[in-house]
Amino acid sequence: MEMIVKDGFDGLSMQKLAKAAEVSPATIYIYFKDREDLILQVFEEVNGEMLKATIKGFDPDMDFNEGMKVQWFNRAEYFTKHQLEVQFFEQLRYSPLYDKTISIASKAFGESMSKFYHNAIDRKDLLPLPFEVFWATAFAPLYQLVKFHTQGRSYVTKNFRLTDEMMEQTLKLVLKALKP
Amino acid sequence: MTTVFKPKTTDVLVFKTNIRYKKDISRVAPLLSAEEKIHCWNVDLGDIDKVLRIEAEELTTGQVTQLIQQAGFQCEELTD
Repeated sequence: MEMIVKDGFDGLSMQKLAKAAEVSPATIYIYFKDREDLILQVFEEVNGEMLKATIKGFDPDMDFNEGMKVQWFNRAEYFTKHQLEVQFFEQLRYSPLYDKTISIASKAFGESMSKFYHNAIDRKDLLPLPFEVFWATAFAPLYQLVKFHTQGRSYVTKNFRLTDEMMEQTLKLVLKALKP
Repeated sequence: MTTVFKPKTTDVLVFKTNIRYKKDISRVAPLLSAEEKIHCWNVDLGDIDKVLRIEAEELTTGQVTQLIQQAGFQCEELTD
């Protein structure tokens, strides 16, 4: 994954990878059919880890505000500590392989989120919205904060660090916006 | 009922080739598919080395090189 992030997909050759891993190219080809197969299998594993980190301590039956808070802190924790993985996901997003990654993405996670979402609507904690509107409102503010944190600066602050207080403050606004 | 598993000796052979395009693959395809010892094969066009990967039983690298040359291409085995 480090090599993919550094050299890009086009720069990845099994020869180079084999050298870095100190195995023969033949060995790599025993496990992977081709380059695409390798990238998709790496994606599957990394994506699985990311989702596992996201739902740590999360339960779809949780109160909406509580569940959102758990996910916000989990996502912030993962994305600030796994820069390499984040870059890898970004690269995939703009590659022709992206369509294939969507079909791999975990069904269990989707079902859990869907249950959480519908519970919240039934309990009148959440406005019924098109999925994309809900998702953008619920998580995009968090991702922008994480981005500032990763860059270490924002448009106006030279040394920016994301704090728990800031996250809680932002989450409060988001929850207010999503309330019926 | 008991199932008897035949011991399989499938090997994976990999070669660096100059097979560069899909139309090249269609030229080697008839030859490789006709070889009964080959279970399956593919060419990794995404890789710089255009690696031909073959799963086969008791097939020598010499036989593969010959087949590929018949189709008008070059290949050499990837080793350590």
